[in-house]
Amino acid sequence: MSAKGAESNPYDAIVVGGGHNGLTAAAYLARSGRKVLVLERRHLVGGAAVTEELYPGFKYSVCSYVVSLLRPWIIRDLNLSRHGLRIVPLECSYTPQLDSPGLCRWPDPDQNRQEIRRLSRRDADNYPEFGKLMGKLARFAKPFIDELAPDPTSLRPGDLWQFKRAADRFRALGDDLVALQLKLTTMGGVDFLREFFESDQLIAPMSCSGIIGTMLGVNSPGTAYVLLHHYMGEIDGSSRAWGFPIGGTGAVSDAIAASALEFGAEIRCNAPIANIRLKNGRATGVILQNGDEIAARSVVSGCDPSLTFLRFVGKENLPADFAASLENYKNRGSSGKVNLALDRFPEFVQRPGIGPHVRGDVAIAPSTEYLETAYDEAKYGAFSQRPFINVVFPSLLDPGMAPPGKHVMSCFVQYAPYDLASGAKSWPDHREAFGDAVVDTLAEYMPTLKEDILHRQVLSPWDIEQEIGITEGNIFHGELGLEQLLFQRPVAGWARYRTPIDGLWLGSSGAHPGGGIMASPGALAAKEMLRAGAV
Amino acid sequence: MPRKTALFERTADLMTSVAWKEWAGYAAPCNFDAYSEREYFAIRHSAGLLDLSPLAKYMVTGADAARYLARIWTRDITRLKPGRVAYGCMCDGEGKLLDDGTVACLDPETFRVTSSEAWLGWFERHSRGYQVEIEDCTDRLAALALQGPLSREILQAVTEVDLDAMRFFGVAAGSIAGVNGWISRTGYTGDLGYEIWIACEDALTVYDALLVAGKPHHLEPIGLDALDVARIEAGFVMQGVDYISAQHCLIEARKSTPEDAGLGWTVNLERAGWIGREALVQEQEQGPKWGLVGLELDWAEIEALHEEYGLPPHLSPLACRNAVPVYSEGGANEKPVGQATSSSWSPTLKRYLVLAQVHRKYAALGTRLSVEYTVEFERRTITGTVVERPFFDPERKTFTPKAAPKGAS
Amino acid sequence: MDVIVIGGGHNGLVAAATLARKGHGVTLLEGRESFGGVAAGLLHDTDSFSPEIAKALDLAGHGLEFADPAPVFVLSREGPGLLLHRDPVQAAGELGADAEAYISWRAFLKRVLPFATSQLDSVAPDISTSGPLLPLMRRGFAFRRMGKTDIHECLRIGPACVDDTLSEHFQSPLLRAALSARALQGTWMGPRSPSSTATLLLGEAQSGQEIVGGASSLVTALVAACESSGVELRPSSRVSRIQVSQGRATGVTTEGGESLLADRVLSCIGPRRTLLELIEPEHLPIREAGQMANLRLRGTLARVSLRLAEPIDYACRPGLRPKRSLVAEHPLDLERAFDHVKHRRMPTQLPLDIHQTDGEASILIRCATIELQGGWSDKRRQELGDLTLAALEPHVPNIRGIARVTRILTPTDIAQEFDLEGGHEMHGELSLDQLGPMRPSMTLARHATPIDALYLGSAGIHPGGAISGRPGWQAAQVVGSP
Ligand SMILES: Cc1cc2nc3c(=O)[nH]c(=O)nc-3n(C[C@H](O)[C@H](O)[C@H](O)COP(=O)(O)OP(=O)(O)OC[C@H]3O[C@@H](n4cnc5c(N)ncnc54)[C@H](O)[C@@H]3O)c2cc1C
Ligand SMILES: Cc1cc2nc3c(=O)[nH]c(=O)nc-3n(C[C@H](O)[C@H](O)[C@H](O)COP(=O)(O)OP(=O)(O)OC[C@H]3O[C@@H](n4cnc5c(N)ncnc54)[C@H](O)[C@@H]3O)c2cc1C
Repeated sequence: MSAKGAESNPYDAIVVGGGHNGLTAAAYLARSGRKVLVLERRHLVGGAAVTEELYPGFKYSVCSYVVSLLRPWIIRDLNLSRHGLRIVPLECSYTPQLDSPGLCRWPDPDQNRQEIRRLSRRDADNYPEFGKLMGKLARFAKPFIDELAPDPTSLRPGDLWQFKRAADRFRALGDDLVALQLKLTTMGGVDFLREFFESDQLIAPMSCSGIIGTMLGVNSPGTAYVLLHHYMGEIDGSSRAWGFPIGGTGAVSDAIAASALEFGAEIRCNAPIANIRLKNGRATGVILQNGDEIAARSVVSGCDPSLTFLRFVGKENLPADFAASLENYKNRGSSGKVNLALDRFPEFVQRPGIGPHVRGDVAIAPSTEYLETAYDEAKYGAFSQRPFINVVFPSLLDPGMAPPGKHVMSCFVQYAPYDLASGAKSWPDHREAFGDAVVDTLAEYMPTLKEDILHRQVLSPWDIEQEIGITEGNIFHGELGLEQLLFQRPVAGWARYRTPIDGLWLGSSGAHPGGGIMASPGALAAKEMLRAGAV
Repeated sequence: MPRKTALFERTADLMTSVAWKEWAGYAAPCNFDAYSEREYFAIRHSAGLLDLSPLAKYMVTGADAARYLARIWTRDITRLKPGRVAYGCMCDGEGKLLDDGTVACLDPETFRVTSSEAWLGWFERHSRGYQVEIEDCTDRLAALALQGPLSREILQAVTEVDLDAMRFFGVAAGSIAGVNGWISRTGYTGDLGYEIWIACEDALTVYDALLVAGKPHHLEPIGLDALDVARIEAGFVMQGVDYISAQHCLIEARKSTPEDAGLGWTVNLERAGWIGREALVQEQEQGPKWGLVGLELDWAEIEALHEEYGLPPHLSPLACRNAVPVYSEGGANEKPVGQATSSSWSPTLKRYLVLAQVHRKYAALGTRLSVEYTVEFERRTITGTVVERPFFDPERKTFTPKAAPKGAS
Repeated sequence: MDVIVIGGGHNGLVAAATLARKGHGVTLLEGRESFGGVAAGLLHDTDSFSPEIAKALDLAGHGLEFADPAPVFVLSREGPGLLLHRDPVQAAGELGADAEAYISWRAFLKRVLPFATSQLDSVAPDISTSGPLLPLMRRGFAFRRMGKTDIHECLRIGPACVDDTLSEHFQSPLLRAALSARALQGTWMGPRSPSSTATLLLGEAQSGQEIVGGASSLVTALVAACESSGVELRPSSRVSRIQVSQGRATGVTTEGGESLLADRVLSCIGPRRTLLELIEPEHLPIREAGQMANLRLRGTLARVSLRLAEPIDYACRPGLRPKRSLVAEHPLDLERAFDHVKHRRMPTQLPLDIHQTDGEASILIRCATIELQGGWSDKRRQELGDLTLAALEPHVPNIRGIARVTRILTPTDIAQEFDLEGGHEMHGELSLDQLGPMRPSMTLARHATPIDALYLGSAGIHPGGAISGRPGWQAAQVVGSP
């Protein structure tokens, strides 16, 4: 389509980036009758939620691999189940040990109890109590992910009202839970868990949730609150923590895309944009890398904040303090991904067989010391020799992911710092060594693994940046640290999807409530745009 | 997935039914036959033998053991003499019930504690500053309940412990069927009965010896269904049924204080220093809100109600644990004033018995209340009258043939 | 009213003098032979003491003098080092490229710290859910007065790590290391630990002029103030029990077996020890018992004392002979040191905090964990001395010739010598969850305890550590009120 044609019949909104959030924003806008165009750089939509067949017959969930907080109201609004979305719950969380059976955490409390008792009877008693407390705090925290983030400095009636409601709910928790909530938001995961548990073999896997996607260790203050995620997660509205989408996480994006198309949105792949077009400080459309210009009343970015503002808009076009804040925005990718195609299932020596213990996620997190050491290496610019790895075998949950009898194995790995001591650009020289470290680590637990590998894909944060376009490969579009959450995501005062550029909106994981396959940022951004009459 | 107790092999063998249920993480027989009536009548007329092993059991030892237990238990354990057992309960810091159970004083520095569920986490959390050791011995110690009018004779045949001299709530060490263990005169049936505490590896020996000794007396292995009917007759509350442990409650309204659950008698507010006291003193000042009552449903009304539908009254051999609302008399259209938590037809008393938690002002003896009762999918009510608990209280429960003069244990 | 004050550290002394000046009969019981606790002769930084308290207790009349803080010299192996003055104008000459940034950083602090200082100068807010809302809102409005931009900045950097915050402003690793080192005192954090910026701000909010003659002059003045206001000072009287009857503290028993009665008891030793060790467990509600059991106080402090045959002369700047100097050339040196703490290992490379006086040097090491795997042995203690000299050697090549190690205090030694639980100099780590209304816990931060007539007033209570006198002073206000 020629640039001229577009000008004559402008779009109400252009969505930059066809990640699941961009698609969600498009679907909501189209659902309200707006004329929407999604521009995706790659040949397929999904961004970090994609499924690709990189080796014949084997489908990889290339980046993200499980879903937890995908909002049920979005699933309903966008009819995602009709568009093929099916999520099956993970059955277990298994933490193997080299010299003992390790720990399986099950959905069933009694089964859990038996498992934990082997490590500590006291912990087994405390575990359900801990769950109950976390459940209560999660109930308090959950509404925040479904609404705009109030700014504590704002005197807008809406903010004040939201604040008052939050304060009332907070006080209704009672003193003990208020204290616990304050601790949870400020403490390190390990310190927090030690208030409840003594067994390091239990604390280690539990503390991992706090480090996912951050450049922090399990002892770092501020990593405890992510424990709540586990108690907030819901699949189809029931509070089971994690699930696997049939067809891989790309199936989530595909369902959203199908919904958007049905509502009348237009999606164009292989259409990377170069810039957001500005006129008198206002976004009026986009300029593609091939030079085409497309006009629109509004532009909503489904890309990360750094990319959106520093690349697509340009520092020179931003208010100085906003630009300065963005330059201090922490991306710092710290996670890598290794995807394997396997000839057969590589059993764990300490718990052989293909039982329910492997139909969930497997965490290589034998001790807090191990995890912290992995972090230390990364702090000084090297990938962890013995990393934290979260493994899922998608082919056990969805046989369609691999040919019969064969398997795919998804390994999420930390730490792989974007900034290697030798520079991020040197990642291609270290990529395979990193992959080897991951496979070597896993092979200690699964001795036959190396013989079983048919194909291996290794993604460093640098690769994620190259392939998916996320700045510094940060899986969440910016660390989920306290200082980059709620009203401060991505920049204080700009958490309501608006930006200092009129007509430009941010609806990606870099906006409140943040990263993960949640679809809230996209949905909330679209709703806010509609409410403001911007489209 | 429930686990097997030390007696699983035998009980599984003896069962002609396949009626298992889960009890505290273990598999436990509901009944051995298609019905539990024979087992129930054994409890009341001969004796029944129950595998109690799933009960949570702890050994608390050390110089401060008594002081420590007096802190976490509502009863003053420092005054419990060796050879005696105290029934009591445990509260959280807000005075809300966590669990109930027994504490047996084996010697001045050794106590065995039983509870419905596991509390090691709680016990250890509050042991700071005391010289005590707490061992969870649930998995190592088996327990049997031998309950019924003939239980003394049967047990005496296999032990040299002088049972005629053992008083109600006494406990003594001794050999049972040739193995060392403990016998306490305690139980959950409101009848004469004993509980036997032995190492898991000895459990089968003792169980079998008792079955042999009991054969001429019509001893029956019993399951949880028969026990449930017996405990309702005895007016005993059950954690998780008649009250919910504060540990499991998601909302305040579900929690109970000891008074609410009819366990106020285990509490001495004069005594200081036990967990929950301050809150309960406040409750006392404001007057407790709830009370546990025993109700007897009007049988004629039940019959008449069924008659309306052309049905005979249904005499279930099972206790019912579905909580139903209780209204003030004739107030079925108003807000409930409480809930009935356990109910059962009593084959011995020929009465329909109910345990209910109701607002204090409806708890007086003789108060008439309306209890929800469903026939043919229609919700109706039956009049219930507050009566004395225990409903069934035979003299043999506490009678001791060779009672020593008071004070000599 | 008769008040017993337990613990004659500087907070106990401040509290005792304050109460006595209000006319109460005060007995101060100190376990050691001398007063002053950790403040007596160990410390380097004395710039936190509240001038208002000094004035109220007329410490000047007892010989206390303040002066502008001495600059800290940060050693370097590559350049001339950095002589860091707090005053930005004085510092500018040394800072080169960072001079302007340092000026604007100080200006930022000057705008935002008065609010923090005002919070430190008052009793912690009551944040319990049944507490009144109005005072909280008032504090909220006071905070708002800072203005939107500064508030946003505070909320952004507060939870962040000090290394990030400082890197946003400054290039010089020496400057960043020096500022980080200060931020980490009393914490269990490294410069890459989130929320270490908050402790940086806390430290800055407390710092002002320093005490001439060091902490021992403060202790002398405080003891004199106590004496002149009629406090009965009883050294060598270690308290072993606080007597409680019917929920009320009635007095104390000392290790010597003496029983003393009082109307009120104020404990100026650690809150955890006070509540968990000095009181029979029956008297303490389980909530507070739980809070105290979870209080974190993992000491990381060790000290090496040197006798010097001649003054230390640093190779990077001969002839300077600063009173205070710092061995930490890069924030990551501090981070590596903290790694050892985390992993409960013996440190290898020591950052040092050096205080040089005539013929002597006191060197504080803040990366020696009391939780050391295998524990602290004589051999480990010696090793600490060797490591100290080894860390100095690149900067002072002749150090082994001029210096003799006279005393080494491991964290365990410090715990013992100063009667400090966990060897933690502040009776509780500084961390967001143990600060302000949460120090030492939500229900204990306002000095009163669930036990009637028993109060808390040491560095373990809001507003916390350092030689500020504030916890003792504020506790005395609460104890002294009817
Ligand atoms: C390795 C990895 C593992 C993860 N694991 C999980 C997990 O298991 N569970 C979970 O919930 N979350 C996980 N996440 C996080 C989650 O996947 C992301 O937070 C989320 O998918 C981001 O979605 P988004 O729509 O906001 O942005 P993205 O998915 O990043 O989408 C941005 C889109 O913009 C496109 N784009 C970039 N530049 C241009 C341009 N110039 N022009 C046009 N388009 C452009 C990109 O191609 C991309 O499609 C993981 C992420 C990664 C990287
Ligand atoms: C080596 C070291 C270096 C430090 N460096 C600095 C610094 O440079 N700058 C700074 O500002 N802060 C520093 N601090 C911290 C600061 O000194 C403390 O936070 C502060 O002095 C604590 O004062 P306090 O009065 O609350 O407690 P303490 O000084 O600990 O006083 C408690 C007193 O109670 C006594 N006591 C304990 N138990 C009993 C008992 N049962 N009965 C009777 N008496 C008892 C103790 O002997 C002690 O005298 C340092 C601390 C240490 C240990």
